[in-house]
Amino acid sequence: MNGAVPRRVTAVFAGLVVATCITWWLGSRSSLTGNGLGLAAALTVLIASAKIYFIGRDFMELRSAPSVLRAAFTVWVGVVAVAAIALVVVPTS
Amino acid sequence: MLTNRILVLCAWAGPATVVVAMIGWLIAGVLPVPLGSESSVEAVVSFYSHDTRVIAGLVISTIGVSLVFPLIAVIAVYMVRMEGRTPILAFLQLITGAATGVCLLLPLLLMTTIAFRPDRSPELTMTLNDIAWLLFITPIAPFMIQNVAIGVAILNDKRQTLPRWVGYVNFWIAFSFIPDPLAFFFHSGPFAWRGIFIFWLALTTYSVFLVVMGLTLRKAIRESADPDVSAVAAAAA
Amino acid sequence: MTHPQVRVDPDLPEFLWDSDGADAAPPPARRPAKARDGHIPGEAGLWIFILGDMTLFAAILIAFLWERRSDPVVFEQSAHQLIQPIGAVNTLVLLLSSYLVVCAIFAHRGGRYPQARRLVAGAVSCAAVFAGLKAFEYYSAISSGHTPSGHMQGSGTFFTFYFVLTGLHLLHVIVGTALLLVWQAMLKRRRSWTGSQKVAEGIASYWHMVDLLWVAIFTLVYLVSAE
Repeated sequence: MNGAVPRRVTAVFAGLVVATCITWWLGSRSSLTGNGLGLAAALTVLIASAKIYFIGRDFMELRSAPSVLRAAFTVWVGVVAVAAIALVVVPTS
Repeated sequence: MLTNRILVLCAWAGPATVVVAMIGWLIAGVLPVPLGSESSVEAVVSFYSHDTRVIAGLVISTIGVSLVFPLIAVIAVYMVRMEGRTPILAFLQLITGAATGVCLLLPLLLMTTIAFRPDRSPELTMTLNDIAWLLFITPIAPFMIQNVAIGVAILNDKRQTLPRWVGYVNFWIAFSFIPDPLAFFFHSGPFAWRGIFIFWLALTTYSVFLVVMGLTLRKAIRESADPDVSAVAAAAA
Repeated sequence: MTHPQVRVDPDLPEFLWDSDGADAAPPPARRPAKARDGHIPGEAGLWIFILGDMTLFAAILIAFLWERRSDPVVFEQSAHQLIQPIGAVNTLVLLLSSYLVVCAIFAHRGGRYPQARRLVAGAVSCAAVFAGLKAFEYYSAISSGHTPSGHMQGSGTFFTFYFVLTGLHLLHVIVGTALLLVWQAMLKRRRSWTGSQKVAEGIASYWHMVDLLWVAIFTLVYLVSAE
């Protein structure tokens, strides 16, 4: 591809910036209820996982990589996201 | 050819290090759960009171870790082939590899010495144990330099004597040693000398290093000795 | 065991004999290259390193969340002592640097060297900003009395992980910046894309990894802990 940066990549970048601001805002809110703590945290982790996935897919150009590589990366994101959410949401007794 | 057989034996020394050292440590009781910085004085003294078992196991483990020397030598031979007339990285690997062998041997010999007199004063035993373990875990520089030298040599080698992924694995292994000096700062937790990111991570990645290098070199030795492959290489050049 | 075309030199040991013209010859084909259903950015071996590195970081992050469970309240208080805006700005700075790196790859591919050099320089500047903000953060944390403490309890644990995670990450930023400067040198020499593709893409992928790891650290250490 000899052309300029595809608009898709610029759109992804814009999305990442917006997502960062959203998570920042979510993080600066104090939790209102005991349950709100888990939800805001889980949502933050989910958004961050999406950000990481898109960095891999569009910045690292994994979308045009062999499926094995893309799969390995996606598995990493998935496992870390699930583990993080589980550790954060499951109440500590 | 005798040289070839020696090369192959040296390559096998890599995985053999892991096997023999682990057997020794299992006998001695260092594995599966080693003494930690948070272990009580009683636990430490009690560990070394099983002196016969501890001494026997540790002696076996010192033989085990000494098997890194043949592996280092055969790595050096291949690195010289990669580098040609000025094999600086091969020499670097040789020197730092030799240092790593010593860094592995001395702490184990020290532990064996602790078990020599189980009726020592507990304070002395604790102190010697601290010295042994910290000496064992923290000297990362020789190991890291060795791994980086190997990695750089492999990636710079136009003839692809060894597969390129092995170079990257060496970089990753070097990186995995970085947290180890944290053992000086922590008496408990994942960054203490028994911590998962210190002892267990380094044990795993160093074993990976020994096995990967050993098997990769064995394959390379076999291929360069195989007349068919050599003929193909000559014809392609 | 010697290759037929090796030049025998009786003064040197066998392993120092040069294969005649071996440096000019292409690497001997050991096995046919497998047809791939896609393009690996950089090269395959590099991804072992990148995924391995990411896994190590993930392990430390998971350990951090695990430790948090024994004292979430203290973790929350400690996390609030971090200057969140700095963390957020650093995230944006690294995202910008990653975007500039992507643009630089496209510029290099298209042969637009001056533009590529400007973009890589931009990414390096972002790295400098990140490092500067991080230095300020560290200074502020240490002067408030928080250090990677030897006592793994409460706020000591939080700040231990904070310093270890961000410290390891900062090491990566430094290595990544050095690699960007290597790329910059290649661009100055106007190395063609075909000659530099693997190296440039590899450096770019490493930099994106640095960016992505910071997103994870910022999310879990700065945001989630404080919620």
